[in-house]
Amino acid sequence: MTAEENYLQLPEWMEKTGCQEQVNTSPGRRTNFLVKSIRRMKQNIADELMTESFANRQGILQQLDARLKFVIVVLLVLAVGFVRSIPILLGVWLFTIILMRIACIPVLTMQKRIWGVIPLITLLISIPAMLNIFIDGKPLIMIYESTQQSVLAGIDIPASLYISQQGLTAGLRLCLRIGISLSLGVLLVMTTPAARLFKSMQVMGIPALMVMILEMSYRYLVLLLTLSIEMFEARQLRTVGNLSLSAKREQVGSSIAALFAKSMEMTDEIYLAMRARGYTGQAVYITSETE
Amino acid sequence: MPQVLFAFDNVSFGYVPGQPVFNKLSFKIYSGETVALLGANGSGKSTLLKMMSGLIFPQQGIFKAYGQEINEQRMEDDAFSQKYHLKVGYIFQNSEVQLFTTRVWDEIAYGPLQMGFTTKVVKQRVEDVLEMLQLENLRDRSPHRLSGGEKKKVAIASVLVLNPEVLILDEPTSGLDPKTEKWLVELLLKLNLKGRTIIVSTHNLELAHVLTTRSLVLAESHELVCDGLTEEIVENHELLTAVNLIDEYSHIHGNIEHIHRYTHG
Repeated sequence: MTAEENYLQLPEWMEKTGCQEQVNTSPGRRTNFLVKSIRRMKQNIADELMTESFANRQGILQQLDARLKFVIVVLLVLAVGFVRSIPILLGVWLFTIILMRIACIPVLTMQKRIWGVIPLITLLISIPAMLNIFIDGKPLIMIYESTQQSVLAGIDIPASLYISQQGLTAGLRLCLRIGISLSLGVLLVMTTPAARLFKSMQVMGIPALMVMILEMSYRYLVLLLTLSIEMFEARQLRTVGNLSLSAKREQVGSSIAALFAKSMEMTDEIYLAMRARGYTGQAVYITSETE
Repeated sequence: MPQVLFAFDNVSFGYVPGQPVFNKLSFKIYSGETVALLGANGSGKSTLLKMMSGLIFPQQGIFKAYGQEINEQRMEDDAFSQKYHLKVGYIFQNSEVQLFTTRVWDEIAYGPLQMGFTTKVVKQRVEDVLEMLQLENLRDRSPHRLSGGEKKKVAIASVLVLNPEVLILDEPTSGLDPKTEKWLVELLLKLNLKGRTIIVSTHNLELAHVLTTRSLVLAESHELVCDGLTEEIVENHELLTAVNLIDEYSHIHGNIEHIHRYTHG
């Protein structure tokens, strides 16, 4: 048959619906990494949408000038870094909770997210630093006690090993500082639309070009995330069962390659689109729409 | 009596609480139908298609396919999921997301290989589809280097190779030149003649008219406002204007004012 005659000529197996061939089903339930990845990426997009919706509410904090909020938050984060008193740190934490309430942000959900990961991990990894061999002081939790000091493989082993009160205080202080800084960051991000937040960075002397790059990165990060979700969904539709480790590696590798190729193409197009609207390498900005 | 393929019973879905993508949808789709989902941008067409494809699941209400409720737990069952994806093929609006391998041939072979077809069958099917869609000269090309129309053809080939009973296409003609658009319509009509159910989302009324017999119209309020014959719906200007699928603009020639209808797509 000629190519013309073959045009839209359905092959024999496509003349009927349904699957005529035997296929090998992999048994069991799927906890596919594709499904997990898609779920996680969708959660990120939903969080992003949620943040934007909070930032656009009519709360008192949302009404404040973005530049003022940015400066206050940066100064507060610096101050928290210098404060040593635990009661004062706890007071600042309480203050951030009150601000969240005023800004109509769900306090409990945010507290779980803020304290559930980074400060908790910091506290756990700082446990060795709380030991008397690093920060000596009043014993609080005794781990090991002996009558005399010994030497093992040339290393002096102390007569007792314990978590000191001073060590625990230092660990708590570190955990509180991180949690409060995160709370302040969350407050800023959740009460300020992204566009205004980026513009406000210029008050701190961050160059306009850097702000523009950050702004574009944020915008295209969301776009690439959306693209990745669809790529994974397309793959999920044609994938069944738990894949072998090598197949997973292959899939992730080709996804990264495809996404990289797409982002490179996009980069060129974005640059051309910028050039087409007069961009010459110098970012020109106004910091306020009313200027 | 045609079989009920998809049944939606008061189905609602939203990515963010309080912002539904669609709300309390109830309708059925029967085997062998050609159905258009009509609606302006953001009316929830793509999300609805993804639900039919078993990619997302109702937050409220019940969605059944082939008489069985479709939910996350059921789709986690490999055997069920395999059967489902073999029956229901989904072609994304953005072909880019469907193409992730380094060769057109591998791209088309990916689905049947994952589904467990034998190597012999995979090779045969890929060759047949390449020939049918006249893609033989692209077999060794990288999908990323193809034109928009070629990418769409490869994306369609990668789904057709699984021979699904239902073909779901999201905005199938967006970005296609008239020749490729005509080719696609002819292909879909031919597949429908051979018993495939075709479901397309579009705001291209001409495409809906030539391709489908039934249309479901989604309003910008994310509700189903009409379910009827496509030929009647495309003539219902009041409805189409209300759902923002057509618009009117006027201009003056001498003393006469003309009003033109502007259609999307």
